[in-house]
Amino acid sequence: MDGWIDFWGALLVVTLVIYALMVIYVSIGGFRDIKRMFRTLSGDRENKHMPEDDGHSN
Amino acid sequence: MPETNFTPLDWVIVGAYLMGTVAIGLWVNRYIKGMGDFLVAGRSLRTRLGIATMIGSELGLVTAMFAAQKGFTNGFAAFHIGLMAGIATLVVGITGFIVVPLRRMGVMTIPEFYEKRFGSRKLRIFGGIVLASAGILNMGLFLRAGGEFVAGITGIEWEAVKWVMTAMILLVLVYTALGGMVSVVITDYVQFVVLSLGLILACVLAVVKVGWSNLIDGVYAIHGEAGFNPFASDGVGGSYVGWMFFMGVISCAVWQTAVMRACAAESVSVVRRMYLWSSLGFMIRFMIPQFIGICALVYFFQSGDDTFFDVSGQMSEDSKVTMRAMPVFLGQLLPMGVIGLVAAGMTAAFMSTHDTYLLCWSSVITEDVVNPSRGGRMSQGARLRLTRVLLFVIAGFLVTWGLWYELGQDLWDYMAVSGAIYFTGAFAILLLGLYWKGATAAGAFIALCIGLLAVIGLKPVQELLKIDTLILERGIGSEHIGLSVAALALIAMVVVSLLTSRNCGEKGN
Repeated sequence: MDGWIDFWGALLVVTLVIYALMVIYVSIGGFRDIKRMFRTLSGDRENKHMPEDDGHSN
Repeated sequence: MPETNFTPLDWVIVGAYLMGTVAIGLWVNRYIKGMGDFLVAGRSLRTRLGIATMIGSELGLVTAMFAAQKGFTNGFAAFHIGLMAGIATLVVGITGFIVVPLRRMGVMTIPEFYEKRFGSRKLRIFGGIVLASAGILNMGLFLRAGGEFVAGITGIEWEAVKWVMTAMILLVLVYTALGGMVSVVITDYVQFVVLSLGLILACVLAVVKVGWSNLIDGVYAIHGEAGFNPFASDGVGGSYVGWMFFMGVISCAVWQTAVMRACAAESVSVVRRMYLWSSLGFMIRFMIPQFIGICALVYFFQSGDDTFFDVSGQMSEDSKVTMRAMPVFLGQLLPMGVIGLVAAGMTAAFMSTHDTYLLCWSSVITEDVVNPSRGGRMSQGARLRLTRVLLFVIAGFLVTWGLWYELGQDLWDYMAVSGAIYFTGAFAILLLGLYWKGATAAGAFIALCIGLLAVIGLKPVQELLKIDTLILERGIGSEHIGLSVAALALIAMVVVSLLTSRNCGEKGN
């Protein structure tokens, strides 16, 4: 049972730390993506699909 | 009425947050020019916003409630649910399983895939009906879970809670009907930021309050080894862990709301990145609330609370009571101001989940049931109007269903079973339809029909069929029913596809 306690404890701490870092990264980057989305939506196009896979995102 | 630290200042924080959300919905309405913008935000979602909106819609108040309930009733062993969800999403992100081919096909809904792949409009319509019915049933208790949270954390009476929840649903309807997916992704983003920070802070405060070693001792005193080891003899068992892995795959790759996010992504590479990053979010969305639920368990056990434990120290078996543990605990743990922020994040999460699901199911009915039934001749304007009307109709159902349905099982298990009505059949169709050329429309029809059998997993249905005693005696859980139905749907689709492709000369596309 001690093994399970250590495992769950370690998993909780590691995921919390990584998640906290991810929240900071996504919060800043997501705000920039929102601005880009509005530029795309207000651009001159009529519901046409974006290119299938241009291998570019950021 | 539970004791709480919730003050008028906290109400002001929550109110200001909700008003801001509605203002966003009104503002983005100017960007909606057609169905593509309304449903998938013009396919303009990029990686980081995609991650935020994907986690934002999945890390909702309802998720927090059922996950905390699992932590309360199962202790640390409940963490296996988050672990399985994280591994499953990671595997989907690495392999692109189901979601990448779907994005390449450019579909907006799963039933649309049915028609494109099998060339059968009837299959699309039937699939749309099954998907929307199961989906609406699945979210049928969201309102009650949200109400329990508001009642627990604010300490207000249940009668007042009903009005608060109805007002929140109306706010959701206003901004979703106006802004569609664009307002949904914006509110998801804001909710992701606020709720994530609030939950991380709540975790830290909870562990400081209860103490780590005290937590371990408390869980052991209540649950024994089963509180840590999911495979212990009196634990949840291997089949339940397997069911949770399957649920993890379904949640991220087959469930319509997640698929809509993948389909709204700018490109296939964005889809993969979204899933890789979101795997952590899919894990954490269970683990953080479960941890708070575990803290609540030990806190109320050691304080001798008579709501959640009887005089002999036995935990309540009433699912409505155990669901209330997390919000009541937060109400007593968090200080003024912080409690307002967490409540604002949670209510925003409640609204975010509702906007995603309401938009999803109303658009499925429009795009996959009504429009195809009319030969696909509905104009964009008519489809938009119908989708908006359906938003209100479904919301009306939710208010009614949420008030009279008797749960009788953990909220998570109710949701897994009601969702299984759709996804057991859909999983077979997606798996075989995407990766096996021999799959046929007849096989897909059978898979959907067999999937309906999953309804047997619901307690009221078992009571109606008078098989509840038999199921209890044999130790058959919802996981056994769900996995059996999924396997049966898969086998039946293979057999019927082989028979129909040979006998009728029907070929897979």
